[in-house]
Amino acid sequence: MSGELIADFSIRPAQSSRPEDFTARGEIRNVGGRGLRLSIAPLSSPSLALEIVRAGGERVPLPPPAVPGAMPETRLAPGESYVVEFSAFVPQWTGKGKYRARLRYLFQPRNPDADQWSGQLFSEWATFEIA
Amino acid sequence: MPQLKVSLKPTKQELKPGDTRFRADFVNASSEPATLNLHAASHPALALQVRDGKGEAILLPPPGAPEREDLEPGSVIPPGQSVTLEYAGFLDRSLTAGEYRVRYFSKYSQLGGRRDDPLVSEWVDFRVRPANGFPVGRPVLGVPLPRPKWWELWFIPRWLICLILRWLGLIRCDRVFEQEVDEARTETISNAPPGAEAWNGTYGWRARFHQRVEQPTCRVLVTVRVRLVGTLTAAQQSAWQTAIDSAWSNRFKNCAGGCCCGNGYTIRCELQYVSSGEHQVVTVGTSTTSMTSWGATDTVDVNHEYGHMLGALDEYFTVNGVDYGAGRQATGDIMNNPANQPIAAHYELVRATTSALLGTACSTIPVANNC
Repeated sequence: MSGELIADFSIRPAQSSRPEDFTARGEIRNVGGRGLRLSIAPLSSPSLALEIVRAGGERVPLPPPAVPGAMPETRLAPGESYVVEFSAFVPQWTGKGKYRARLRYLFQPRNPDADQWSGQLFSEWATFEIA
Repeated sequence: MPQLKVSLKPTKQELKPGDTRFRADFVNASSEPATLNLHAASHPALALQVRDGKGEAILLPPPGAPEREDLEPGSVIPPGQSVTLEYAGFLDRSLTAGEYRVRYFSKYSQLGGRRDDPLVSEWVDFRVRPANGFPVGRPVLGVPLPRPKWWELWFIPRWLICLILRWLGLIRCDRVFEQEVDEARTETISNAPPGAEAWNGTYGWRARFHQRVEQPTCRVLVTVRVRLVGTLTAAQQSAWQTAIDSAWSNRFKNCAGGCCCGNGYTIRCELQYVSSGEHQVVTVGTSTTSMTSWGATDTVDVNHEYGHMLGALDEYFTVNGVDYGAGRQATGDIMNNPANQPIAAHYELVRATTSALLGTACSTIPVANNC
């Protein structure tokens, strides 16, 4: 199924002194030629969907996600996108410095249906700075 | 040579892990006023060095994020005058029993030292004994058996002794102890079932709250101050507070020895909204998705997230090697199923803080039970 979905990711603003000022926006787009079912639970929380690393490469742990419950899905026709936005996604205790983050989508059910996307998808890295 | 001299004194030579308490006395031995930032110096990780019996360094939990007071020059100590700081509960409770030593050490001027001439105390030796104590009645090498207390010899009930001591005014039960708690927490979730693999990973956060131990009311009051990002109506704010109070308050109490609050200190937990000086920043959204992203109309999952703020870990899938099974089990506690109630272990950081504040061992039991 790889190649049917692509992920875009951006962070605004590029620099701020307050961690809560940063908002991340992720977009998963169906670039294949058929409709796909997409579980959106792995995109429900910044703790599940984002990876953040310091400039030196050290991973920034995020606070624990909510207890898993319902596993909602969405359907993406060819060319359609699913967009997530995480405001204040940077933990409050994160120190000053330069960071990069990316969107991760991971969904690997045991027996996926034919139209259900499964696999692991990453966006390109986006950078931000806590000044 | 630094203007200040510092000496460390333990309250006991033998300590339980997590129950450490040392007093630091700073004396201005020079003829000029000296400065010391007491706020910064009160962070054990900034000012204390701990070694085990082999001389290996024992790492202390990281200090909290610097506050405004930490960056100020500090207090002036006139010549000949002294100030005292107390360091309590800074050693991890999982520390192995054995011999240790601690000293004050700083190269920083705010903490009394200089880069080329640090402020250093003598090493102070102490012994950490096993977390669960020694078996009753069994001699332990180097540790004398406790001598019976005099009232035990005379078969006088302890409550009567306490009553007499209080009547004589020798014991006061009107004190209030307070402490800001700030502890790092990490958990690694593994073995999430297929379809929920996204939950596998290592998470980290800081458990932060203010704790008051009130002897006049026999109550422990835990307050988490949150600053909200996003819009939450007054009714929704009130709903969060009511839900958290209902989930976490008046269920357990801390039992401590001593003559005050013989039937324990009932634990009350509250959520307070602030515009600055917060323990946590909480983003308001349409549903609760993490410890710091809460749903505006949710009054169930927020109670679980509050548990993280008190230091409790998740209890679903496998967490730090412990297999809890699926999340939201009908019989699961609040850290497995947010709709259910907490258990005593979820108040462990509260218990440890009560213990450190009262200077005595504490336990956590249901409010309906007798201490």
